[in-house]
Amino acid sequence: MKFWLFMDKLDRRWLFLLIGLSVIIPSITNLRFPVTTTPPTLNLWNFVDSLKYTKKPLIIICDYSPSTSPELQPMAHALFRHALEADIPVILYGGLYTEGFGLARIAEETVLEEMNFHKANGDSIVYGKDYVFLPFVPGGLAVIAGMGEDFIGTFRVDARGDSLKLMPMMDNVRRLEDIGLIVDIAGSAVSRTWMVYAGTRYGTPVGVGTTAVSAAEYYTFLQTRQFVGMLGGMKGAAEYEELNAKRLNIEVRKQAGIAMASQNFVHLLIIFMVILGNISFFVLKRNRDRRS
Amino acid sequence: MHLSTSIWVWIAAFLTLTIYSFLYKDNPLYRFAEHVFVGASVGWSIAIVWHMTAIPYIGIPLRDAVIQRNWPGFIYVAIPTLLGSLYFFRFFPKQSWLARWPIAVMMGYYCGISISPSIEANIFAQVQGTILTGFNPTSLNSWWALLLLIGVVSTLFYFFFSLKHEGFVGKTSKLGIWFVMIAFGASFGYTVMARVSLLIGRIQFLLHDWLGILR
Repeated sequence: MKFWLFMDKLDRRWLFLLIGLSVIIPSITNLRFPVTTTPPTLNLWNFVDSLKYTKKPLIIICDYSPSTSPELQPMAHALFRHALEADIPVILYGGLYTEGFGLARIAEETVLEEMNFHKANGDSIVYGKDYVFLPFVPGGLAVIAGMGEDFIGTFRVDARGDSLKLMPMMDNVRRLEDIGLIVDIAGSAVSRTWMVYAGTRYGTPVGVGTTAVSAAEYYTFLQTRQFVGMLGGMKGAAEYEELNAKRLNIEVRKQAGIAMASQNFVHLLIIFMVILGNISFFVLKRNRDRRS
Repeated sequence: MHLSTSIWVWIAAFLTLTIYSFLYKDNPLYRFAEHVFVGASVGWSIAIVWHMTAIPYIGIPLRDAVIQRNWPGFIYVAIPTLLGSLYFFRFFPKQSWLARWPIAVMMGYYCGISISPSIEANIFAQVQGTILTGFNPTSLNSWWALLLLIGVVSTLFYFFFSLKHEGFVGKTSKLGIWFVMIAFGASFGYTVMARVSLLIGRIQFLLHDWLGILR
């Protein structure tokens, strides 16, 4: 009984400490777990990969803020790497909120630095030919509508202030229907806005990378194929990194893959604590009932 | 172990640790970091909007229009700019009614552009996805689709409050509660993963970028 009373009164700070250790120890000891690929990730990877045949651009949208970047930034890196490695034209875009611009820039810098060392097929990446980087333009929904009607009119210049008309990659991009796929990586419901307007109104395929919190909500749109695929939380990012490594031999530090060991340990701890907490609750309840 | 030599990494590490100090208890260092975070976010947004919107989409076009004496071009930019500027009248109580004009334009625009695609994407496509599936008893997918249909209908019964929840309606709505609970369970599981991911992200930053312990 003493044990259950101790559990009942356990200060939650001890749990925080246990969770912290469950994250740190697997990270330091380099523990790795196999990552199995789920259909939503595989569908998205295959769709992105198929763009190398059509040469239609892929838009990667970083519609998130630093608060959700631990989950979402690895997705942006993995998608950008995949597209550059497979010679798929990429339009990198910070999205409809100001915070995303800086995170898209981090993705650009990180992946380009890696690619300078790792690109398997040799040739260098040329800005304006292989990828362009869009600036922030306010207006939310109006920006999507603008892209749907007149892409260059909406983004007259790129993020560096140069005219988009002068970029060879943009020669065949007049409106959203010229885009092969939009992947919106977002920590909010903004992906639904892209799905409703870019997908339904302009017929552009849309994929989504989302925080684990939102993932459950998006399964309904996967089932109806309104999203071509989904990366759900850190697990989705780890799966995409794994596919890149297996199919394209991209050997870089797997940011999300490393994190999955800690993720597994914390989940085991939480399951254990939930079971222990429930047993404690029922034992103490039965004890109280007996006494009364 | 390779300690970072970047001052910004050290500042970020300090702020990360001060934010996590809240787990022990509320303290002034935590509140300092919280205020820095909010201030930095707002400051960043203002700088981005100024450099990427106000100057290239308002300042430069107006300047060019004046230099080239392109008065239609000038009006084309000036009118929406003036309309948008009316938002600032929110700060002046007597003239605050002027802010209703840009709000009215925005409301009209968003309603007009939203109604049709929203209904198509959120209602028609979802209803189709729920019920329009050919049933093949040998296919597992068909049984899943049937389960989905039962789940959707019974959940809708639970949220149907115009009839008393008794008899058939009551039993169906109780079944609906089970589906709702399962959905909440799935959401909760994912939420745990999301929160843990954020912690892992910060710990990775501390161990990899700051202390250089992790590869």
